[in-house]
Amino acid sequence: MIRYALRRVPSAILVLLVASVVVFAVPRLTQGDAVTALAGPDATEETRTAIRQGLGLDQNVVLQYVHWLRGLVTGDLGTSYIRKVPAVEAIGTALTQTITLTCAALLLAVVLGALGGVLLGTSRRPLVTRPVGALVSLSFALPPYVTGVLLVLALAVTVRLLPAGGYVGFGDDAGLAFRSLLMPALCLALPAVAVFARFLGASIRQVMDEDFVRTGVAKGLPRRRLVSAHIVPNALPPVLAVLGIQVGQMLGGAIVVEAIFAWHGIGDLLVNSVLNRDYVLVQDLLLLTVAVFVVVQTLTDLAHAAVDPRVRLEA
Amino acid sequence: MNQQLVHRRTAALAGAALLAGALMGCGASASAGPGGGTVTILQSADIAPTTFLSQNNPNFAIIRTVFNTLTTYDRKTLQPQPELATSWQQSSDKKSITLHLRDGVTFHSGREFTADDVLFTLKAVQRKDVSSQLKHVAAAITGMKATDAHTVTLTLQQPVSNLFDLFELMPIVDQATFDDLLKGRRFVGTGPFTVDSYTPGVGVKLKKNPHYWKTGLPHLDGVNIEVQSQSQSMLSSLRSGQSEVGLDLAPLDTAVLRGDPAFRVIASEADDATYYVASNVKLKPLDDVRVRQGIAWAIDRQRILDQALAGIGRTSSLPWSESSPAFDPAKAGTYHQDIGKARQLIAAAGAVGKPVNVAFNSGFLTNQTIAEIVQFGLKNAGLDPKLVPLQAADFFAKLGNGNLPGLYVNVHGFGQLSPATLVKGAFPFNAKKNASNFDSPEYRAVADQLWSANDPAAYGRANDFLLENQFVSDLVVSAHTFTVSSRLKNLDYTMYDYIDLDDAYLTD
Amino acid sequence: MTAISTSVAGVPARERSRWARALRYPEAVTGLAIVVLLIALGLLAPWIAPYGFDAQTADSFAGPSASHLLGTDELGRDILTRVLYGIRQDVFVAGLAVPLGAVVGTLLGLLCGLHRIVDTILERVFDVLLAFTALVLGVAVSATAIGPGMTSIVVTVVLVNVPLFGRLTRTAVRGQRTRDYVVAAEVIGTSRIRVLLRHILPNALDSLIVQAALSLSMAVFIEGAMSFVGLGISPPAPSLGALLRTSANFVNQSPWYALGPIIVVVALVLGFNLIADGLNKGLLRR
Repeated sequence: MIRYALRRVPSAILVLLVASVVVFAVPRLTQGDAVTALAGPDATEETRTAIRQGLGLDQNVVLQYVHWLRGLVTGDLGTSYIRKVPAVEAIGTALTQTITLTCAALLLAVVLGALGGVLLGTSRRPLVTRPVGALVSLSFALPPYVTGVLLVLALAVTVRLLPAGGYVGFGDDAGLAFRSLLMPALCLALPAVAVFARFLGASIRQVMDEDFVRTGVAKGLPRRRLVSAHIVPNALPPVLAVLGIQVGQMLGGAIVVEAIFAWHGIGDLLVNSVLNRDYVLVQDLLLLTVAVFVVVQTLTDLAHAAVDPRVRLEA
Repeated sequence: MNQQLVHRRTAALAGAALLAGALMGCGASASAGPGGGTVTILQSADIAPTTFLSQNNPNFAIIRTVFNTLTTYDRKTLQPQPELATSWQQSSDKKSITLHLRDGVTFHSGREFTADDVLFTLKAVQRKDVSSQLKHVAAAITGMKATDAHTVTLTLQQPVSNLFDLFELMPIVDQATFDDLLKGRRFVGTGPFTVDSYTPGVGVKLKKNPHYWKTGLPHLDGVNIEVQSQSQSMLSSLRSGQSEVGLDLAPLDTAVLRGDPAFRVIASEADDATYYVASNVKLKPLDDVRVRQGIAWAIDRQRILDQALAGIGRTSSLPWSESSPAFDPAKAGTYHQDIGKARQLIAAAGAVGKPVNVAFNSGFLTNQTIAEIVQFGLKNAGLDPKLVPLQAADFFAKLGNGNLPGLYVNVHGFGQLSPATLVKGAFPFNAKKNASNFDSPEYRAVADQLWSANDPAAYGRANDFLLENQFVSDLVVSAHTFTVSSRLKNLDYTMYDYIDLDDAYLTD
Repeated sequence: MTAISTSVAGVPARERSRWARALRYPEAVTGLAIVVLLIALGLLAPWIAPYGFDAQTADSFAGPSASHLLGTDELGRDILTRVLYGIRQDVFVAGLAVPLGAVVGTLLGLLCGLHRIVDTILERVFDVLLAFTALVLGVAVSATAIGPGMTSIVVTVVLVNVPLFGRLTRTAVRGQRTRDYVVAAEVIGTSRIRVLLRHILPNALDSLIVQAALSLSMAVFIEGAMSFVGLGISPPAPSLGALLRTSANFVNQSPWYALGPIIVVVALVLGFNLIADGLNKGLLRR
């Protein structure tokens, strides 16, 4: 096991290194740099050059890379060109909002998805499955920038039920924070609801064909108990596998949802940094997402290896 | 359209103020004058502290709330009025000016405002790494001297027509904290509000400055400036009552609120959002003046005004606001859509079927809509136009170094004040170096003539030159807008569109 | 196991009947009908559209009428016409990019079965690609010499699909490698590449096809998301994503605007999903 880990971990580090080159290069391939945003409109070439020198953007690119990498190792993510604050600080502030949003959306997706999935999987009545199926498909087919706009129009403008946007911390005003969270979370959750419902439904139908369910039916177990105690638990594992992918998808969807609801999370930070050419933040954020992915992958592989010796031997 | 909007607004404001005053007298609030409250202002981009000494849209809400300027133009008469400078005398040769500064003004840090701060701010504008459209004016100041703590004498290299444009553009900054200001860490001014907290990318929280030099003001307890990138989210927030002011909503979104008694859409009479299409004259076929004139004839300006700008503004072939001394109503109507004329000119230049790129900043839906109308016009006039959306950073970088790939659709300001400020400071028109790569000794001469004095003959010459050469074809002179909840009274603004909340208050 | 006999005996003969079986599911038929109809409408757009896609008029935000069945947009253009051309645009994007991504991804996935080192490297490549969201990939691609527009979108959709198909194939390869028939084939000296192509690939094909149907609907989303950040297909040519995005901007001015694009996108995504469902039942569950 240790030998497996010894082999697995360096490869993960290699991936991160390669990724660091990619994420360093990508923003620099784009046209224009942070000077545009810092100099403002109508700035003369002379002013631009002076600002560029002040930022160190005229330095050798390789040097800039080495400097960044050295900082990363010591835990220094650099300083934002535009915001002038340490990248750690900017990312930290944004992360709070995105984590709140994603967790809430995930919770909603699991609850609603489970509901839809059980209905789709266990019910044989077309009067139930058809509308549920249609709703599920609809929630998958509508992109967040459409559902978001429609939700706001309905629930915040027409009926003033929920705030139209903005993030409120749970520490500041828990009630308002909850109400502000509902729409963005729902909007982000909807596509995932569809995926969960579909996978769970399919998985349940598969489980229902298995012998132990037939035995349960033969033994005269009440249907409700059969579903809740036997079928769903057995149908869950394959659905959990989808969960990881959905979290990744949500981080992507957060870009759009945060824009519509005026949240200032990771998605908003990334888009703004890309648009303003704030290289430091773009690099850090991209590397962060890759790192999260690689770490999760490595951990699952290691866990897999721990329970399944064949994996260890094969590698 | 715009004028109507403005006038209706002024009347309504006056009425509301009277009414409110009467009501307040009945003791609605215990304190003197209208009650407090906090106003939330929405804007699409974060404030940009590095550009505080230039005019930059994201700073409209913070400059005049946290800082003061030396003088401020009366929007009706365009005469400079006292602000931090109480009076001034200009020498007869216009090459020197003495400013008397207000007594008893303190910075938010508690330090007294003196002549040194004026000198410091002027020197900051001269700094290489600080941008400002009025650098050329600051650069023309060859001597500055504080004769006493509250008197400043400036000597100029030559007489300039737009000195007060600089005085109004330039917020007086605190020399002790200027470096922190550029980094967005500390904001120390003399204005009615102090910065309570600033979260980059999210917004600024301001609170009342209890030691403001206008005694008894401001009424409001605080101001929140919040960043909301989507115009539609701003609209929703305003309509749901979460905020009171929306800065520059997409024009078509302001149209939604027209006729809604809960809101006023104020189109600033500075009229300094002029939409234009310009040519990179280095590229064929745009190097031919006939093609550029043909393009000016090909575009349906009326449809741009109606469909892209929701009727805010007026069509014009000249860059000036109506209030500008250089504005000439007859000449402003020179170009209007005439496909026949356009085809003729383009054919005469042998440019029929020639490909032309039309670049625009894709982050800005209004510009895209205008670019589409331009594209359709050019197609009908016989050119082969192709739209090229560019990300803001890319677009402005290319604009800055004159590398845009053909025509480009954009918006410029500075048509509202001294005509010299436009041809000297607004980059599309800058006679020394501009985004169009248009360079001619005559144009430089025109610009210098405008700069040295306010001379009506020079205006006529400049107008004719711009109309003839069409390296920039102005389309619609529009305005920055403030969408204001009717709960907020007495919102004011300067000729640079800086929001002034000195007298503002909220009603229920 | 039937899988073994099918594959070892060679694919064609029985494959047809399985496809036929998939088509017996009403989902698949409905889905196919919707998709075929929409694709046909899109392809025929230049001939059946009532107006030019960039024909502007002064009559903006008009509601549905006899002359404009879906109303007009902000520039007075006929929305029905633009929707038809939008379908056409998306059919090209999805029809080009998804198969390309699928083929590249599948080939790379198969390569994983060739050698352990290749496998390790490719798996990491997939990891890195998956770690970037589609939008970030889009920004990165548009940043290169390609620039924003149609080509960038196609490349992005390809890049998004490569790891999806790659991983799916890789999993199938790993699952099949220890199966008896593969071992048997190796024992009798069949080359590895041959085993991969002739025996393992056909077995992975079913899930790949289901993924392809899902990827097609995803392509429409990605195209829309890219126009969201201004990297979409250059105006004035319409695309479904751009129409959806623009109409969402004008929901306050003209609710009708959004209707057409929403219906078409939902129908298209629904159609692909139904096909995927049908195939799922017909092909995967035996």
